[in-house]
Amino acid sequence: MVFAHLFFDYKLLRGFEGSKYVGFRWFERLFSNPNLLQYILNTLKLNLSALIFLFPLPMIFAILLNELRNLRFKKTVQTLSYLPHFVSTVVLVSMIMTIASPSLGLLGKWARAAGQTPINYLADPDYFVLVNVVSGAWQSIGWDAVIFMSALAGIDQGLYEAARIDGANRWKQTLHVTLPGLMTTFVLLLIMRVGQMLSVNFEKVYLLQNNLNLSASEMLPTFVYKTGMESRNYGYATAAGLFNSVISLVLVFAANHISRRVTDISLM
Amino acid sequence: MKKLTALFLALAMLLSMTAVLAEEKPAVPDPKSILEGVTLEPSKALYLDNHVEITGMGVHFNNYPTEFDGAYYFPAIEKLTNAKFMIDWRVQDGYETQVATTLASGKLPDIMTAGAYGIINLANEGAIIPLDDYLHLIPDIVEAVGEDRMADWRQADGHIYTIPTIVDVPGSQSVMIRQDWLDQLGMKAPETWDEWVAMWRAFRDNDMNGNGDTTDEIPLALEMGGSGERAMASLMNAFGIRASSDTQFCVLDDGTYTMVYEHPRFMEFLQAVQDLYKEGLIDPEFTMRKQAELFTVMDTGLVGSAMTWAERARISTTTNREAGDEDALWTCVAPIKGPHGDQMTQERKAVTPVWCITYAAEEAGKVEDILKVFNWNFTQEGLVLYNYGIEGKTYDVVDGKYVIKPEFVSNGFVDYRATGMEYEPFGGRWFTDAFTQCLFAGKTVDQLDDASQSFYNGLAVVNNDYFYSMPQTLETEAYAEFRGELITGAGGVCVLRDQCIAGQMTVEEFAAKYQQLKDMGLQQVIDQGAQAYATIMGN
Repeated sequence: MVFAHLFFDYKLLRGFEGSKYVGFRWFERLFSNPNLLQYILNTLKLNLSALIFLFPLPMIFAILLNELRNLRFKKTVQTLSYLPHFVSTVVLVSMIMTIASPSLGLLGKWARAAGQTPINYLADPDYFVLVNVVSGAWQSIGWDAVIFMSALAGIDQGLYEAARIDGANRWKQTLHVTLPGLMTTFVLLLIMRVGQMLSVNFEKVYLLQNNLNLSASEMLPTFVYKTGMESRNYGYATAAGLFNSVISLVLVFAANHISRRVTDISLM
Repeated sequence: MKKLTALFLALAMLLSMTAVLAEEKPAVPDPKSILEGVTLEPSKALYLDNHVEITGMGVHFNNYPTEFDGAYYFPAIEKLTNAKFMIDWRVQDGYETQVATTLASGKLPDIMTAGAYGIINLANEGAIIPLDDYLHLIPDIVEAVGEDRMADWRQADGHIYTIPTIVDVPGSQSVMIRQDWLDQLGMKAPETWDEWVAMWRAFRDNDMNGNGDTTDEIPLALEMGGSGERAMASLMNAFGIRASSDTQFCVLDDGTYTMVYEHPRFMEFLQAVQDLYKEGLIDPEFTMRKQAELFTVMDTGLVGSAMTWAERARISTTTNREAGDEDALWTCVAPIKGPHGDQMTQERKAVTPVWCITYAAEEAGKVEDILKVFNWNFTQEGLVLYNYGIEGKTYDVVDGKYVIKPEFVSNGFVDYRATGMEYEPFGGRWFTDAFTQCLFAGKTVDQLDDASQSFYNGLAVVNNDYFYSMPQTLETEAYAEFRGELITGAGGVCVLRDQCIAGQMTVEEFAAKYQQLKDMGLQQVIDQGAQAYATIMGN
């Protein structure tokens, strides 16, 4: 039924019976859109950068936390690192805007105090990836480390004992016991993350958009949302959404295939 | 010594008490208490035989009562006309999504406002009915709109779909300048384009706010509007472009309705504004500066000039002074004069569409009663209720005139609206007299302080010779189809315009991309718009 929207100029109240059949018009329009390639590239750029920089960080953070011997300090750091996860995206974006504003924000004030001209980070397309990654790291590192913390707890302590008997120091234990112990979790999460890659981050990117950064921030999911919910062109939005899903599927298969070839770990 | 100290303390206490008493304003009664002890007789103009409940869904604004039963207004309408409005008020953000959800549910209220969803979109969905055949039931509304404003009431397809709200006051926004900054520089308010540019440069270069930082002044702050479309309104006007509210359409000197990008001076405007941006004379955050942030930068002493609600001249002056900038004064001035001598500003839209009647109301046989009640709202009785409230409670009749009690107008429009008067989300006709009473708070112009005088000048004096009637943004079929992609979307012309201003592309590159957009469908938007304009103008 959802796919039927693809072929109609769908009207919510009239339903399919009262909507006009338009054939492949929405696909023709989508693939003749001169900005489509830009949207795809932006989608990949924003999500790949987030994947590359943000995905390993929680694992590293979990390993570092695991090495702490002072239990109270460890718990405090862990709790504090969770907190940003509970900040809603709207509030997060509002904080980013306040901090990054050249006229009112902290960054602007610091730049002026240092005798520099403040950079308008949110209006410059070149900085959009940076803003996305840094804010993402702040918000997700603690929470995403939880899974790795539980995986760490599952590593057989006998392996560490054996490594110590063999003369391995802390670094060698991490390298040869901890990391292999986390690898399965890491790869499974990575494959799943690749599958979601084109749909994550939507709210934050959408809320951070303005006319000056759109050349770097407009991605397929935001385009789908605007076409469907703001322009009420449901057929066109469905066509773009379907295209987005096809790319996601291709990425999942590719990630799964690569993982199977490289590590022998896969979902299928 | 002790006696002297005691005397000094006593005098100080006496003086401070006097000051407090002098500043004390009469307390504003709780809106819920307005109808207490009031007996309202059924209206002679309209009292429905059967009690009618009218359900609705509409956009609410923050400065009016949010508790529906809390305002005097709706219970009074019920007692007077036997019609009860039960409106599901929603916030403006994302309202179009809420309309879409309501449409998808198939359960429509009797009346609804279209908001950003668009009246024509609702009509195309079959959700609302045209009112052309019902005008005989709303003669007072037809008269209030007036023959010369009928075009503002009609939609792009030539039909009338809405009950409007009418404001008979042309002023609302004004260009304003920090008068104390001008005084420091020994400059007078600019009267030519060159003088405007010279003033902005002086604001940029002279650490006007005296904080030791010569880079934080914003010579001309600009407010983006809902999605960035409004920022350029005042500067477009300076180049003779009579733009619509969203600055996407205009009417040329020969009466042609078209997109602003077709205006003979648009490219010149674009180049000039790009130069201003490059020089650091206009707001570097013009694509992100929402109204609240504009007010914040004005209140924190960063802005030299701006175009916003005239009332802000009073409020920001007070805020700046309270923050220690005792000489601060925002002066409302005539619109910016462009390099060709163009000087104009948008007139407040007199006729604004509000309520659409849904097909659900038609199926329930309620259309006639609903229209009669709305029409009553525009009769003398309804208008007095809307503008002045309840006699003896919110106003008194003095020498045959309605005089709003001081406690409701001592704070300008704030308490007046918070009580439920001039309930704009619902709509009616706002009299100039009620407006003026709020503005003056029982005083004469001479008795107003300098900040309030500036506010008054912005609303009713300095802009009077420069108003132009804003053309509508006509929601034609092509506009509805291409707006998201070709106008406001990532590759849309509005976005390209801002990117060009910020130097991300040259004016020539903009022109080439604009031509591409025309080929992709923008030309259809222009053609259908011109055709629709001719239709609603009766040509």
